[in-house]
Amino acid sequence: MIRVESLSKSFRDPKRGIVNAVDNISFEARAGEIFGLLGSNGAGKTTTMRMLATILKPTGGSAQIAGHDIVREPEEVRRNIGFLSGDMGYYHRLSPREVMNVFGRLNGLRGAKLKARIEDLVEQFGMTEYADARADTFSTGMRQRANVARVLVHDPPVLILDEPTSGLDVPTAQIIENFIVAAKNSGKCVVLSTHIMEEAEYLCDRIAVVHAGRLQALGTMDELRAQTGKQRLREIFLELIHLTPAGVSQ
Amino acid sequence: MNLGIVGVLLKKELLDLLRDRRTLISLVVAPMVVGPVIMIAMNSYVRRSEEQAKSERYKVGIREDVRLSGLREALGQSGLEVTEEADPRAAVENKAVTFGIAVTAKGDRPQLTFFSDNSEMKNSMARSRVNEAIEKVWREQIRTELKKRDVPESVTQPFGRTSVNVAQPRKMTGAFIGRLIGFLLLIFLFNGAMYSAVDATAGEKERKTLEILLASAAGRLEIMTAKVLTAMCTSFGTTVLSIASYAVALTQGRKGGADMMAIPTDPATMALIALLILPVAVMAASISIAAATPAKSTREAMSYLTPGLFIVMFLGMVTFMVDGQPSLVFSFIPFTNFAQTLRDVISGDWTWKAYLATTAANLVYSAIAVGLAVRSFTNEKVLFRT
Repeated sequence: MIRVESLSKSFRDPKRGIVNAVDNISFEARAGEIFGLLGSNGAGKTTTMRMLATILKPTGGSAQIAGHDIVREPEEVRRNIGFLSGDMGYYHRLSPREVMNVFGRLNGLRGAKLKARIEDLVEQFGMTEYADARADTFSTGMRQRANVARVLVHDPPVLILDEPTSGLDVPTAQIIENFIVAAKNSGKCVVLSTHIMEEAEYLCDRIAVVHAGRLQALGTMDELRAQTGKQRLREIFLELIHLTPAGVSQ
Repeated sequence: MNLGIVGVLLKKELLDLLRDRRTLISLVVAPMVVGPVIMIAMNSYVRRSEEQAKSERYKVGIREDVRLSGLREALGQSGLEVTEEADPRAAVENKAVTFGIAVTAKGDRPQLTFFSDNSEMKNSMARSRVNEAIEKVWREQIRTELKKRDVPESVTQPFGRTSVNVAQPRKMTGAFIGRLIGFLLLIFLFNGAMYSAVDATAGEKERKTLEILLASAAGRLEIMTAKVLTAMCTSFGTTVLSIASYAVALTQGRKGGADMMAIPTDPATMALIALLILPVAVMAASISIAAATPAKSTREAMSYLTPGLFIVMFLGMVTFMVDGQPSLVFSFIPFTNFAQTLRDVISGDWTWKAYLATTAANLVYSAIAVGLAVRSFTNEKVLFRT
């Protein structure tokens, strides 16, 4: 579903010179899988996610999502993804139903089909009471539910979720985690970036550890345990970010 | 470019914008209410002052070292109250009287010296009444002297004089109101575009919603086009509302009403004006989007755009300094050409050559502005400046 080959992104910083934000990252993520990108702040997770979402252009390498190249076919790629970031805001002046209507129409949904899809999501995420209210009075939880519904309105096969639970309280984070598991169970390919070890350990089928823009290791929890000799993901992560990229398993 | 996607985004942008209280105040309430209310209040004040000036019995302090026959009577007949003042100048300075006259002897003739405080506008009415009375006394004296010498009165009028203003009312309107309208239109067009552009670019960054759009099925050019069109819509909208409000306010006024009536509203002139506005609206919207996109906050975006508005205002004001048919060079100066040509179209004193040169130049400038907006919005270094 997602194939990333030697993906790189560098930029010129006036103070630091050339910065390699993402340096030769390669991985594959499959349908029905939650693929975790684990790394500390500034590791290159968000830049990788933004490149996959075609918001940023890579300076090297390539990536295909659902068979479409992120540079040559960005529109097709975007039609096949749902992108959600924990740092994303919400359209405060619009209601969840209006937002879903806009993003459904952008993806070519119209009329009865769109209406039915919106109603389905309103019910699924328990938004009946506030689906037509402007979001400026919403709690964080209500806003995140509306955001998730917006991401799912066109039922994309790939979900790119960049720290979606960042800054959320436990009940709200639970809503997002449930949605991620449900997406996996329905056959979607989920790429999840996080720096919360427990979340990655609990949710991800495979985990890629990224540090300083480079892929340090990739595998299932068992593979990572075997590679590092550590049991808990926190220990594995700390061990790995001091390793060289050698020994990366796929 | 998918126009259906642009349409969906345009609708969303307008809905989002029109639900913002600050935008509504800046784009609708302020131009529709504040400006016209100030204008109506000023008109009302001027009208009241003039009526008061007409009915007021001004005091004229007079000292006659020599007697000037008929002077006091003429001043009285002009509605002035005449009082004896030993020092008319001091009396004016102390505001004891509005006007002072000292009649002294110079040879065998009386010499009149007038004292007034010309810095106060209301005194002009008293001054004109005094002039009227003095003119009457002057003529009466000449008539008496001529009669004494048995000379016919017609010698004082060797020929007749008639002045004819060849300018049609429409041209007169263009000369006064046309300049003002061109200048105001430029301000409204830019003001309307600025608020919308800032909200749709730097505002989206502040609210952290820009990434939502960038990761959607819409292409970057489609997003930018929708934002430019939104800025154009608000630019047009606020301009039309402002002009309508000012027109209503002006018609409440004394002279303004008559002048506004002389503005041509025939379809041909309206079409010429609309075609003139269109490229400038595109330019205003595109420049605003291009300048506001790199900004990290709405405050930063406004700090980029405000100096631009001053430049536009200055270029629009050039029309106030140029009279008659300007050189064709003016047709190539952005914003000046718009204000100039609009004035000429309103006054009916325009040429196809100047009109087409202005429109062609502004189409080129608007294309450049659109190019800048595209460059700004598609450059990730600019878009994601942190």
